[in-house]
Amino acid sequence: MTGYNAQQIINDFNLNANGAQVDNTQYSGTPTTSTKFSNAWDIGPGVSAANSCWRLTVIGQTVMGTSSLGQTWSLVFGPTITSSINICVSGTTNYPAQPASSTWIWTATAFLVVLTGGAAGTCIVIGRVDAGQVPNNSSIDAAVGGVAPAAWNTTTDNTLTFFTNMSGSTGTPVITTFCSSFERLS
Amino acid sequence: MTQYVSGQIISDQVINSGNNQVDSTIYTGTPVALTQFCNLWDIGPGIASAGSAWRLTILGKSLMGGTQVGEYWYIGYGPNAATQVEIVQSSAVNHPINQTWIFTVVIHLIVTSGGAGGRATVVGTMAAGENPNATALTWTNGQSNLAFNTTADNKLCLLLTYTAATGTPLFTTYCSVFDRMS
Repeated sequence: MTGYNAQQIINDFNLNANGAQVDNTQYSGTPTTSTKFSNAWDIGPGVSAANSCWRLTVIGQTVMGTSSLGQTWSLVFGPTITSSINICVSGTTNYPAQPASSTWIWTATAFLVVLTGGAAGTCIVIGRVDAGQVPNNSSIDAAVGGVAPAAWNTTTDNTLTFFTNMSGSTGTPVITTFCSSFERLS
Repeated sequence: MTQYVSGQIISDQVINSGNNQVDSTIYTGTPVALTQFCNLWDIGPGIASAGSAWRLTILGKSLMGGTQVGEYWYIGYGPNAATQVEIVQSSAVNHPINQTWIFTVVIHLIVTSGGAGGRATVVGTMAAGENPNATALTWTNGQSNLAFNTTADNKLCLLLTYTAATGTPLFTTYCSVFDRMS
């Protein structure tokens, strides 16, 4: 918690730099089961209440190998890793599979909003993936997925984490995430 | 720009609330005319000038009933948010019966010149995924060089409607986040 000096003028940069948390740990690999690919951002017991809102942004890329495979982008939330929702599964009906030997640069943006507080509280978790194929020769629709509402116990220690995996490892695709930022908006 | 008093301890929540405003009022219903579906965010007289920019994010879902109907997505802006800009008029065939779309709408308002004869650009992107992620849809639309009187009291919001109530489709929005970026 930041304290400011008497008469100190706080600019927008100061405000944002303190409000957003950034983790530059790099995650990389070829997971074929749902795997943690960002920092597990913590929302401690008693920290959230009705109307609390967080935004999680993850920046990454997927280098497809010699075979085109599907990828799942997911969010895991709550006190354990048992609560999860898919943002998107590529290669499914009406959502494109990434071509072999191509690279997708993507951002995953998630909102967690607490609707009601307490041990039997509720929240919504909605995520969105925006991807572009290098060197921008493909336009890929944004994908949105989530749950509204879901159980959310504000009295326990909760986390919000980005997970991902490939549908297989044939051709050795590589997923890499470079950074995640976690902002408390209210 | 906020000033804090001597000795004041500023929490993360205070810091953030200075730049982002969140409203988690739930809006739900089956409108058949364009209807406000988030907080009516205020941009007061004299607040905006050339270069001012805001981002409005809305989170929600749309449940189609037993009959496919169209969905209209619009931005309301200006005094009383009475002026409309279309994001998309989604065709009835886009949304299968009894299926839920989880959606995000992101709206940007950028003031390009100030004063009573000021101008602005308003752009919105609607992105929806059909549970369980069988469909991904994105539409972006907007207009530039729109009249925007910065000396008046202006508002910004999302407007939604179905083309008919047949089958009782249902819009629900859970939250809107209003960021001033410049």
